[in-house]
Amino acid sequence: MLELLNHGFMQKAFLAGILISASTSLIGVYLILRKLSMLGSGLAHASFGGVAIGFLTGLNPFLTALIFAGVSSLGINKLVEEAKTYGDSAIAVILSLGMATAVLIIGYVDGFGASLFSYLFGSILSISQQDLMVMTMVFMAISGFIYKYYSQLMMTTFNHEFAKVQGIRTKKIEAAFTVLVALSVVVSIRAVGILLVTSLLVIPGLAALQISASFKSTLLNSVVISEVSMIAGIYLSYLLDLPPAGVIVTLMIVALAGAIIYTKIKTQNNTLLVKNLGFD
Amino acid sequence: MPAIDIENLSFSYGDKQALKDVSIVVEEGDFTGLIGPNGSGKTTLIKNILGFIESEKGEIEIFGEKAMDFSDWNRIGYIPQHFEEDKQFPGTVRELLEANRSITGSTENIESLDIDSFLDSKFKDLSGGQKQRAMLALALQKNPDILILDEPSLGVDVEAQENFYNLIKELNDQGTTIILVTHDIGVVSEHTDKVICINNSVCCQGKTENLSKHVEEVYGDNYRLFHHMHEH
Repeated sequence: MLELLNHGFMQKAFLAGILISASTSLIGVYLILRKLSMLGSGLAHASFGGVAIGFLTGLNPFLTALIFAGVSSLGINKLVEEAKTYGDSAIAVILSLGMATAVLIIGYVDGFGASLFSYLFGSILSISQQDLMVMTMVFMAISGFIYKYYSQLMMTTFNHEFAKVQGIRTKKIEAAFTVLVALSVVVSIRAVGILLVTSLLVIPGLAALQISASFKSTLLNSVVISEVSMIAGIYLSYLLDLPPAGVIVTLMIVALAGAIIYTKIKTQNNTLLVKNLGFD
Repeated sequence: MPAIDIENLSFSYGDKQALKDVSIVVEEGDFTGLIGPNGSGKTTLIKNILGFIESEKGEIEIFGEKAMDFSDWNRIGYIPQHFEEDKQFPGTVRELLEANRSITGSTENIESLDIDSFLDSKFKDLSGGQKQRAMLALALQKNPDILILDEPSLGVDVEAQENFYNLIKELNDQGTTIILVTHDIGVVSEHTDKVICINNSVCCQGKTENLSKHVEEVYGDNYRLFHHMHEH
């Protein structure tokens, strides 16, 4: 495996994978517990419109996707608060807006349809130095925010109304959190593409929830599962000459299946122990 | 100065009027039962008081300050109707208490709640009675002047309920103002000093022992049923 690291593009791929995994797996736990798993998918599709605008205007598509996703995330919050729509309906509206924008631009301008489609599936092996810098900044923003507002995030996830009475400015925390989701989504698009970005956000967190004994250990296990799947996925995809995104996500699903089976066996063993001791 | 002072409060969900011209006063030190049938607007009233929703008409004052401007949250303890928002929530009681302590900056002693045996259990795995005590511990960590409990005994067995209400009574004896939202008239008649009965508007309010007749009119036959169940 160390031979792989002689290649500059592989060094960048591993480093990008580590940064993206950490960012998405941390955010993902909160998304799952707030029943917002599809927010990641919605913002990823919305940012496709941003990528298209980047191509159209000649600006960095990564940057335009970031802006588009950030504005979309706030748009979802506004739709829920002001128009009193359900969260999933608001996500559907924003998702449609992003995809419609992309489709219109592809139809209007010939020539960059193929480049645009590369964003649908991701390409972690073609990460640039600039991409790495943005990923590092996003990782620092997400981990810094979670470290600083750990208690507030935990309490708002536990019970929103209770958190408010405890003096937490829930609206500000929610808005900042949603922007961070948008950031994590956009940086992940480079690795696994728009279509699979939800996997990075949701699967490690789901697996961690199966096996963890506390909130902190859930966050930690989510990061570990994501990192191991990411590193092993990049390595295996290189060895087997397969698309990295597909291998990474497959490994995550294997980890989730393993976690579910482990929990089932553990529960059965505990039940048997209780029966044998005559406590039931 | 009253702990809570509400004048002519009205609130609607779309076309459905949930509260109409509600005026109530809760004095400091009161143990007040807020009762009414299902859908009578009890929880809506609490949500208005705590600023979760904004009233369309009327005034709410908390300790003399307008509810929407109120910011001294350490004076208010609240136990919501549904404790955790997600049944997968993996946090332990200890983690919740630590997070709560870091937010409120409180160091209140909550040993009397007897929660040591399940401090390291996940909140979601606790029994109804244990959840109740854990929530009470969280609400009391900041030593509030007023404690608002919204249907705290849903899904809790009778023995745990009795222990819980005895704890609440002790708190009230020590000076904490209590507002207990419930549809269980038996609990109110046994534990509270004052009653406010609403059914979208205020039906009656006053001392518990004086109001049983009015309450019976609102609840009909259910009043006798609840009362009978509680006595046994």
